[in-house]
Amino acid sequence: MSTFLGWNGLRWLNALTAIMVLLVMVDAFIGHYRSGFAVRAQYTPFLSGGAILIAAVLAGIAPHEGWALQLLLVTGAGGVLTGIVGAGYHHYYGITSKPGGYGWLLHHLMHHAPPLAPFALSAVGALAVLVATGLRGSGAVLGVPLRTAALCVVAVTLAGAALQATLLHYRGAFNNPLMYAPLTTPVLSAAAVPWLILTRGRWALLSVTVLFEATFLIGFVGLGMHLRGFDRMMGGLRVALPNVLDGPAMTAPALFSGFAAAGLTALYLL
Amino acid sequence: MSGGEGDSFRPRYPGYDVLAKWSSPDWDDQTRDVVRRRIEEVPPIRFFTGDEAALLAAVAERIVPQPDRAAGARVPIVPFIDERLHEDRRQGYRYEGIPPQREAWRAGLAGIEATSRALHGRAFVALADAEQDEVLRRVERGDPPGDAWAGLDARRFFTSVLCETVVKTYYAHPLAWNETGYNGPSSPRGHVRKWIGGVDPWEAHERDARWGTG
Amino acid sequence: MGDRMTRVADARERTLTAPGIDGERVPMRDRSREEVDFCIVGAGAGGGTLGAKLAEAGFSVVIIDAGPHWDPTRDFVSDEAASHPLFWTDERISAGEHPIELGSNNSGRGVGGSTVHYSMIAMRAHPDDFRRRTILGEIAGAELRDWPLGYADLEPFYEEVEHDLQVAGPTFYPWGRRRKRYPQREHDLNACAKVLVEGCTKLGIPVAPAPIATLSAPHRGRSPCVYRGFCNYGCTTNAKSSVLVTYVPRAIRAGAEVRPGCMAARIEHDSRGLATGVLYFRADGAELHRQRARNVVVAGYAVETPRLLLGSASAMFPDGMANSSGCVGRCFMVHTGDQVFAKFPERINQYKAPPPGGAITEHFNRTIPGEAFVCGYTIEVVGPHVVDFASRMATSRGLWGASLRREMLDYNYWSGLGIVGEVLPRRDNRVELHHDERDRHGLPIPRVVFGYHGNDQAIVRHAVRQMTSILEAAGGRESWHADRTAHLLGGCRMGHDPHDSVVDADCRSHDVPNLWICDGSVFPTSAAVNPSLTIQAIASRTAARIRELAARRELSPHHGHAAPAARIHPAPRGTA
Repeated sequence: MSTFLGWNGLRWLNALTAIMVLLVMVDAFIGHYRSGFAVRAQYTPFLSGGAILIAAVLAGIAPHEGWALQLLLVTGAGGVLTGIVGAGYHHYYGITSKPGGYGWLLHHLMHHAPPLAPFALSAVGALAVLVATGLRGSGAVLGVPLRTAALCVVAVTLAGAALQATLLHYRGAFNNPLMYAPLTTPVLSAAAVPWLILTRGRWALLSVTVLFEATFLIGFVGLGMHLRGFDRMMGGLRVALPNVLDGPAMTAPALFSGFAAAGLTALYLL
Repeated sequence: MSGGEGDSFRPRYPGYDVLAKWSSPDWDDQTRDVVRRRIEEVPPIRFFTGDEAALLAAVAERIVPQPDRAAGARVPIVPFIDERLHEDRRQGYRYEGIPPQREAWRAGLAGIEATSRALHGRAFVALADAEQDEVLRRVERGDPPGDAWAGLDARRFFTSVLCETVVKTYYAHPLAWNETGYNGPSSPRGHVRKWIGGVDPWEAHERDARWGTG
Repeated sequence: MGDRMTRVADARERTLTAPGIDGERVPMRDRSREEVDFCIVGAGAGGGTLGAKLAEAGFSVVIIDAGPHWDPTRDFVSDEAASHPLFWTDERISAGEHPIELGSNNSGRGVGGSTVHYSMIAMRAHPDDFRRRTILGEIAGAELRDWPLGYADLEPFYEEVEHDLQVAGPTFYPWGRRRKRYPQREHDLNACAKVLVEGCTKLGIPVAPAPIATLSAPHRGRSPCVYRGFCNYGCTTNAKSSVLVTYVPRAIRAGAEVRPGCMAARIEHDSRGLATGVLYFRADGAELHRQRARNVVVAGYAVETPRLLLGSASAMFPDGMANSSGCVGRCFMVHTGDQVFAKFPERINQYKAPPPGGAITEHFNRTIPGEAFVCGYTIEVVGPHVVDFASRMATSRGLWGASLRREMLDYNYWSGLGIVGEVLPRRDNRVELHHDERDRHGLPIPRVVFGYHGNDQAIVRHAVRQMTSILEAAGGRESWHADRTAHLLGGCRMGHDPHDSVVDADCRSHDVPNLWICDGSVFPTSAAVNPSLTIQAIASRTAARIRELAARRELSPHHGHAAPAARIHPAPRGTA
């Protein structure tokens, strides 16, 4: 297994897991604070995500300790489950229980609990499971080779994130052409990954690499644009709280960079 | 219309003071300026005579009673109506049968006084609360005794001039905002939790209020 | 056109400035000494929109307005009581069987007109709304007329205005003709709108997000709405697409002069009966000023427009200008705007977010089978702030004394609905000049006479029942009803027949070919939708038609090309 700056692919993936679970928790906190933590279950992502964060940090410090890896595996699986249950909650509270119900589906999808957001925690949890499995010496998860499994997680996550971002950018009437960005390389990367897995060709590898790199950059452009969007809200920083709550999701674009980086790691270090 | 007063105004939003948000992003400079003047620069009486002002004060106290506040701590009503009449600041229309506002107010107050004397034989300010209410109800119904209302539609004067103006003056004051839990000024900060039961952190909270579901 | 004339005046021209929308001052041409192509009286929905489009087409334009030119960053306050300067406060007499509220209820003052304090609901009228006479036939007591233009004529202009205002609306709007998607997405609902959606859903009444002329996303330096809820008192954040922050800056950029503080006194004409300009008073002075113009456009809304035309009577036009038909001031209309409020067990906080809330139902905007009335109404959401709400409690519910104060403690628990109900045109409903009362300039004040048609009241009764059931289905209790009106319409209706209408479909007066009327007063019937978008679409269409007429040299009677002399029917010709 190759290394980069002295760390192998699994340790890099572990570090990315730690960073991204933090981003996911920030995003969840903004959304859940906005709704006033009206449902107790809204605290769950912080319990689950916090556990993954702690486990990932421990696994980073002690990558050969069995108990740390066991912890990472369990918390990761917990994250996957929490995300799925969370999506159910988002569906119920964001759509089913809202006035108008399914008759107002598009409205609810745009304005209420983001339907796909909880799956971000599932995705990070899946990465954690993958890292724990690999560090424990196994080369496959559920019979799928680690590299392939990681690429699948990345591809599905990028596709889902692009869908969720497009929904919210539609709400913003694509008021800046860059708001179409999630529909470009993230979607193409997601589409190119199966091509690579099935053909293992050189062109496929090159394409996926370039697309991941572009997605990595686009995430940072997105971060910058979201900051600019925040500034374009009335009062900008002076009215920080409402603008954070109602403005563009601050950390969401970074997830594109994070998962693209995870994809690159899987490509070249696993 | 009135009843046992006093304790019935127990605050629903204890501790809520809209003025505590004075320096928050809810208040811009121009709004601070108009509200500051409303609180600090209560205008002097320039239009009404002393008797008229006293009579209107008694009437206003029946329309929006403030027995829960000490005499000096009440929302001033008469000075703001007086200022509007002194400046002859109008509202853009008047109903046919009502003279221009200055005449209407003079005639209306004279009519209330005459009605009081016709019904009870005493000045309005000397009547008991219930008697005052009775006088006002007769005016409101449009059948006050006597001929003092000849040039003025009593019902319309009561509802669209007197009552509306007194009520609007009272509820324009921050003390009234506090008791109703009204958010007051909001510029440039607006609202986020707009749903049923939703209360933003900077809005009025009740003792047992919970934030609503998103 | 304009350029040739204005170049002469350049040497003497001073540069003026006007308030921009972000607190800055923008340069503006001084056109007071020119004979401009168009002098427009009134900078509201009609005049402001038309002025911008004419200026952008290269005409020299002056828009005069009686009120101030608002600076949205400084002049608007977050306070109900201090917002009275936004409203038309000059005296008017309201008379008739059902005299209407004027002032803050429906009359704006200043640049931007009523769009500065309107509720921004941006609805199109429907194809049938333009053909009331054909569809309904003769109705006793009403003077129904078809419009001289139809939905198809206005459709491209509706679209243009919706784009200019960046209307935020639903992806699929269930009523009316199929349409292109709105430029911006619908807003999130406030609690009052959720009540409407909840109640309607329970009763099986279709309900949809409301199209609102307020930004839901940033647009050209303007921020999206922050849901302050003070829309009816002037928007301090420029999210609201009022004429003040949309068309007026465009007009100035294109070279128009917007001259505030000018109260038009009369329209002048020459011996041929053609308009030559406008005489006006400055707010601070007693002397008359003259703006010379090759065309005059009156856009003062349905009370001030007839007032100015009637007040411009002369020997040649003894009944007022453009009034040979006798229709000026007649068939004045409003919308019924009745409201129902109910109390809910949870916090509503009706002051939050724009008063239209974000939801609407046009389900009853049609002639309902089995009912004894024709036409219908739209149900919308209302959200009065505390002063306004208390005053409705007092005047509509007759509540005062301790019970008023006690009831007002629950202010945050009330939620309300209101209608825009169609009102049939009646000839006796009119705007006329008061026989003796004058304003501070010595101009006769207007007397507005109004009474409902029985059909109007039947619509209201139906609407109040429906609104009450919707509120109760959503969990509301103790409902009560406030009778109100909204909007001012008619008084200078458009039509094909010069004996029966004041202007043609292009808003050009039948009598005086260089006199135009461009505001809500040209509506022949009222249509149960908020009128501003239609007023603005008509203004846009008029601008397009004026461009066409100018290209065909049929516009300017002064310069000799195919100048139609003033047509006077049936009054005899005289001299001014």
